[in-house]
Amino acid sequence: MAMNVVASTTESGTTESGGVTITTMTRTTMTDRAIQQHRVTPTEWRLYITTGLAVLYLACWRAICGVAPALPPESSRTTAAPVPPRATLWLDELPAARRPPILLPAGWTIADRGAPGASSLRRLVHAPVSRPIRVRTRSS
Amino acid sequence: MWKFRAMTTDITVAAPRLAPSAERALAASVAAMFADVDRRFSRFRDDSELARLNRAAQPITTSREMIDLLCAAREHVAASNGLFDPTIGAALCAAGYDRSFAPGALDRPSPSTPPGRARFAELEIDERNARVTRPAHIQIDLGGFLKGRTVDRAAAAAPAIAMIDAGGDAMLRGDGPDGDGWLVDVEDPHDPRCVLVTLRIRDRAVATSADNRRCWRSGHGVAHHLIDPRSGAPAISDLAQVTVVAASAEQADVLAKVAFLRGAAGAGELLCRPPANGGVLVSRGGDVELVGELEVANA
Repeated sequence: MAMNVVASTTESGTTESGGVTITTMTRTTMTDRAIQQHRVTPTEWRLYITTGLAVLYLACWRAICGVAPALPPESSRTTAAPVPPRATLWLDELPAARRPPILLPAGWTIADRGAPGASSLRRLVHAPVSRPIRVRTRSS
Repeated sequence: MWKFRAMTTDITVAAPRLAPSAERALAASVAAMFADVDRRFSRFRDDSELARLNRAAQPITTSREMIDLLCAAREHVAASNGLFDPTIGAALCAAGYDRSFAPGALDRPSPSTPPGRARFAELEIDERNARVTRPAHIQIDLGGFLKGRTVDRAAAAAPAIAMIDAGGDAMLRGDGPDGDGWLVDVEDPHDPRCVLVTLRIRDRAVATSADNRRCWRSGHGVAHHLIDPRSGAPAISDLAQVTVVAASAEQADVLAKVAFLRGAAGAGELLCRPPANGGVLVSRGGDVELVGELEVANA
């Protein structure tokens, strides 16, 4: 099958040996398909650039921050430092003797956890008391 | 004094001799009680036990509380010769009261036709096994009776001097905050801004029935929530309002309804003898009549 020669390179050299001049010539050729196979596409360029930047970034990171600390051996991890205390807890989880004194605003009260009236507590409205207290009866 | 909303009405709790925090705790427990009763026995909540009973096509097992309610209602039905009857649920729905009440929410363009009469006696109550059999045409509405009963329950758990008021149905425990009795203003049904008379009440309950508030447009007329079991339609009475004083809010609420249905001719006789202690009758024309043993604080 004929192939179109679209590019060629020629290398030549001359050596002399005993008054005889020997000329050698090497010739290589590339086909257009081969050129297409070796052409770097834009996608490949982006990949190369991204990889290069990533390598550069990692190199800089290691240079600046040093090597990440290695995990302690398994044996030492099982005897790790004590767990820090919980930041929050319910008041009734504390023994009565250890409960801190709490000053509530007038009219406030402490509800039991999960008490059935807990949701209704929010809807309670304090009404100003008129003296004497009067009840108004009507159809409702 | 603390207020909250429950059963589509305003509930007030006062225990004037308690510390504010204790009074608030009492109000919170009362609010929880009302919320629980409403959740279990409202006919407007699909998930309530009452709604389940009203849907049941077969005999069903109910809670002991439901049986207690029905048995208590049965006594009132017998005592009132059927003028009090919680099986008016279908009539209420037919009249337009088929959802939770709000002003204007029940208005309808055309009047309704009352359903056939329902009688409480048609309900089969097996007390021992807590089973109820409901005929298909029976729908139960516990309404004001349940509210009064809940007021009584709440008052029983309150201190000796306390007031539980559920939108005008109130239990007034003890001699009042100052030992002179509790002052109860009876509202004028023709002008809710005015007070007709103030009563002084000690250790008694008070309840009022009228057709001026829980009402809605029905065609060119007005319908209301006080159903006459005999007709299955909103009651036609020559009384505009009845206020009853009795030993319990449950009793006062039932008597107020029955007196309203009996009208001026029969209400006075009903309210001047036990279990009522007395009452205030307001005619359509605005006349006010006090019957029974009532202490008036000012006229």
